[in-house]
Amino acid sequence: MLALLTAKPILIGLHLGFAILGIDAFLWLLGELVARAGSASRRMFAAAVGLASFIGSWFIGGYYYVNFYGPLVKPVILKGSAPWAHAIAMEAKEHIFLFVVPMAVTALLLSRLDNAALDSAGLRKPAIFLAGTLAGVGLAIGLMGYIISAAARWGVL
Amino acid sequence: MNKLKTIYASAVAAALSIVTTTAVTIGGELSLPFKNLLKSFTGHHWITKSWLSIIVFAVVFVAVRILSKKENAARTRHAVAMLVWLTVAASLVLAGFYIFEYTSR
Repeated sequence: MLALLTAKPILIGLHLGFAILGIDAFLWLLGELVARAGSASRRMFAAAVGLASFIGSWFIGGYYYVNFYGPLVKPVILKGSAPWAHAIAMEAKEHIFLFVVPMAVTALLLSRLDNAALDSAGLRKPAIFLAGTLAGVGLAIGLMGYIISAAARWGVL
Repeated sequence: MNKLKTIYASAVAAALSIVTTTAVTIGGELSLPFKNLLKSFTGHHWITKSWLSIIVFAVVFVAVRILSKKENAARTRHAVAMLVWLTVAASLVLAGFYIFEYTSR
């Protein structure tokens, strides 16, 4: 089972899957905040799913990056037709990803406020921007991941 | 509402974690000995930066949460807004740095 879970395609799939789940959860939170809909518990659930998913994506992606990407994929990209995919996209991606979890913790703590508290403290708008930024940064990181994967594929051909 | 103090502490801690990660990353790219120093702690510079981002966040969060005496909605609002802008700025700085570094080779 461990051998299956640590197989390279499975790791990439889990890394991407958790990231997509995290992005979706923060888009859900964004919708809840914009629509003033639902209870604080529903917002908390969305934010908790988002945080847990991003942590999962971090650990799995980190394991893949350290054990497989560096020794196996990076040399292929650097020798291929788009070495900038590593030098720019991967370098930026791996470090911008480290911003996500502290932001997600803050979003989770904000989601504990009920609608009245959010409005009276004037925190609805900042919370909307935070949830939107989390989803946006996640999507930008996903785009960089696509560039890196494509560069690796074309580096082999 | 102690919740506002907790949100404020988290926003400040996240902001400082992001600034630290950005500074350490660029520092590591500009100085090979510094990057090697980062690598020496865990075996990989990125794992060290990951731990550093967690440690900075946790330490600053606890310190600010303890030191915050009063609830302050305006301060909390500004801290969350600052976190959003800082995230965008730091992301652009890192992407811009790597573009500049690659194109100036």
